[in-house]
Amino acid sequence: MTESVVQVQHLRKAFRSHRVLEDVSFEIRRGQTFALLGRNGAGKTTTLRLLLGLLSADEGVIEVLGRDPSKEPLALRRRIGYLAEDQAMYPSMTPLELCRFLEPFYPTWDRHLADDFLDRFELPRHTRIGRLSKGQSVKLGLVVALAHRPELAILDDPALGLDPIARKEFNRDLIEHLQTAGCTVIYSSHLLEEVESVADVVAILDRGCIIRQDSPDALRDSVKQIVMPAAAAAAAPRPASLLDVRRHGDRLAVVVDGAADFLQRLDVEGVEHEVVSLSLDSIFEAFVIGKPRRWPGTDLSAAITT
Amino acid sequence: MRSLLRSLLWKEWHERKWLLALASAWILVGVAYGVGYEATHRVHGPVASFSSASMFFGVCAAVFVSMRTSLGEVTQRTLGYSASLPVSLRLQAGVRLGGAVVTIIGPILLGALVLWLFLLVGLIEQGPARVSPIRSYMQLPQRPPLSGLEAGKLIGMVTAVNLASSVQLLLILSVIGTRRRAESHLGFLGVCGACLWLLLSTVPNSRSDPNGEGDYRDGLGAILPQSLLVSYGYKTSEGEYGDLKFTHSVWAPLAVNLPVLTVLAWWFTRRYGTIPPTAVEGGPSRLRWRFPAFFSHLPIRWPGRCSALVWLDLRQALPMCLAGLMLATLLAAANVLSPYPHFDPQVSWQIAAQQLTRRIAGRLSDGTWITAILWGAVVGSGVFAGELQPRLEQFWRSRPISPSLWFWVKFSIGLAAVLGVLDLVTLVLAWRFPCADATNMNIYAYIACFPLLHALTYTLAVTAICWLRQAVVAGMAAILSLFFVFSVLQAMPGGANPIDVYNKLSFHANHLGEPLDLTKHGYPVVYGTVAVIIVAASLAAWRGALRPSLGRRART
Repeated sequence: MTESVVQVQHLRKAFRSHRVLEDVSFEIRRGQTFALLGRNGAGKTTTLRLLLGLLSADEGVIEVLGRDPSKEPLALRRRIGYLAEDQAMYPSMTPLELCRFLEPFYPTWDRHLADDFLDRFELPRHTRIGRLSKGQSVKLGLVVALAHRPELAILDDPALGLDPIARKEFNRDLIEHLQTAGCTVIYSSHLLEEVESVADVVAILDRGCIIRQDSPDALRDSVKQIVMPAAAAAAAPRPASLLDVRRHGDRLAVVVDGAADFLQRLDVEGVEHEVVSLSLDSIFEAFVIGKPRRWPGTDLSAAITT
Repeated sequence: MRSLLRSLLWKEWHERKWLLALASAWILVGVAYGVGYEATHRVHGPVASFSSASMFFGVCAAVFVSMRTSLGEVTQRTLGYSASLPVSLRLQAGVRLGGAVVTIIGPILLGALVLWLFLLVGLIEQGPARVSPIRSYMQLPQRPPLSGLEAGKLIGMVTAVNLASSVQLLLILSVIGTRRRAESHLGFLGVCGACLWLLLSTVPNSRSDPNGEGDYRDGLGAILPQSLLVSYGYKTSEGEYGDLKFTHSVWAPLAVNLPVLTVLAWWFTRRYGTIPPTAVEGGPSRLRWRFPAFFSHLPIRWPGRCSALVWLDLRQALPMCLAGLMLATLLAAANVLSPYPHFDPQVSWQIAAQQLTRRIAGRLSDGTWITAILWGAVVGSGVFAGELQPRLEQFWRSRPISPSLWFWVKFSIGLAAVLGVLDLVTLVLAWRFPCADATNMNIYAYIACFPLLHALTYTLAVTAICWLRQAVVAGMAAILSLFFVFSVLQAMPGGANPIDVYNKLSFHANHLGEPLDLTKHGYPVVYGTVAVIIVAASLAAWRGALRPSLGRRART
């Protein structure tokens, strides 16, 4: 079994009276790309800052690369590459000057790799950072996050604000340089399509809690939309992990986690149904804004009509 | 329309209430100092003390408040949003300007009222202002004190002049600010402008009739209201006091000044927000970073973390200090040139220029001692402010950079830059080009006093920025704290005004031929306390810097 790089247990964090994280637990193994999904304000950035030791937890245990980030933040950051959303760097420096400035702080800084990245990303070496475009800034952020060959890369919605083409280009570079190097990656985002292609494990964070965690394929296998006649649904058994219920005319569309069990029960009950595979986007939507209480047995009339 | 205006006014109040409170505290500290000094020394001069405090406050506040007024929305990136609201930018600009004016005149009026109350109840007394002709001059403590109503009239005149002067400087800087891209640019221009503004109040005085019997400053007062009031400083056995002299007429020039202020305000509302928001909020500036990145082409590698941080901090602090040195040089040049601009036609221009340069170099201390006191606040808040902005702070804090190492290296380099560029250069030039004009300059007294005072302002500004995280507020808080420290130093047993201690040390060394004795004139108490405050403030600043602003943000 591969070793654990990040272990988080029963993590809680509040800013004054505002609770941001509630009993969050997860584990990331070496070489995995772990996608942390959540809406704005779900607690993604706070989780990542706790992993870096930038914030301290109210409760819970965090272990990153075998160390406690709150006790040894600097030792840990030497082994981590971090790229934050909307990150600012010293505007008066050039990319080359920034690399030279950061080099002494990382014992494993690879000057040749940094040069190589600057070339590959086509970044101007002697142009001040204040004059770089948004896309170039993000790429430079990636260069300084990876040039010391980190064991763990933490990317907090790094492509935020880039246009769709730049986002795709960024993700392509990311896959090429991180996954081929065998680096463990935590990638936070609220855009599912870009995570879908890179993530080994997806964790959905909602209102400070991780509500589901699995591989994208396993999620797609487990979470299905099942469409059936609304009248027949009243007689059907209520699924154990019902995520969403919607009414489309005389038919009812339900999204269920653990679809195999539910489908088996529908077959036993003889309920006519149709199974629809969902994208990660729709799965995420069902988990986060689904209305499971609108199951016919409770109050069918309240179901959303589309 | 009325509800819309109410909303704008509420927003203005919401944005400025803390600044207004800070400004009021500043003035009240000044009034308290003046009242306390008068109650102790009975020199009949609290209004002059208030005048100095309110003039200095007005100039500083005009710089800080104009930055916020004309460029606050650019910094906060809300200008584009404001422009999209269903209310004209002109109205918004007018309300912003109104808020700015209130932030300056409110505290001064409050201070004037409080001082008048003290005079009315008879706790302190004020002598009449100095009048022409000079032949009938009588020292202020010997003049019969004014009644409460007469004192109120005197306060009213002083307040009106200072209000007009401060508001006009605010308006000029705000108009300039509408064409700048960053608050820091305007801050630099503002400090230069403020020094020039103060200088302009003294130049007409130095050129007035030496007998003091004629006065042609009335007309000038309409465009330079600060020239309507002349302050004189005296030292007697009873204590120090300030004497005031007005031009023949104050109210008429101020009435003429009103249209000037109105035109400036109108100009501001016309220009506000007329730079496209995209030009100020987004893309790279045409003017920014136009100098080539020389260091980027040099194959420099930093051997360690400290050297990398030293390089970074030198890049930030040195340009600011050099700007301060330029300002100090300008002040010194003005000091050399303004009283008696005399050129001998027999001397070639090369020799004259050389002599002039040597005199300015020798008298650089005339500019640096005061410039560095103010500039210490600019450098202190300036070198820290950029890296304490949330986005850049997040960058360096997420690297393996120790916050303590970051703080102490930055603090030390900034301080070394202030002392090295301003004080060391001054001392070297004073030693290299000894100047007979600089009668009050003693190199050893300067070394003993001013570096500590400059370090004090710098440290107070660093403390303020590390805790408040806003350059403008931190700068104001630093200057206010400096006033407070000066008041405490004067009030404490064995204490004195630190500048006065320097003057005495220098005077005794230069004119009485005594060796510099740092055990006299309150030096151990005053400058010992200053040193203790520097250490305590730097430790407080360090604690403030360790506290990341990341957790205080609402973002999750």
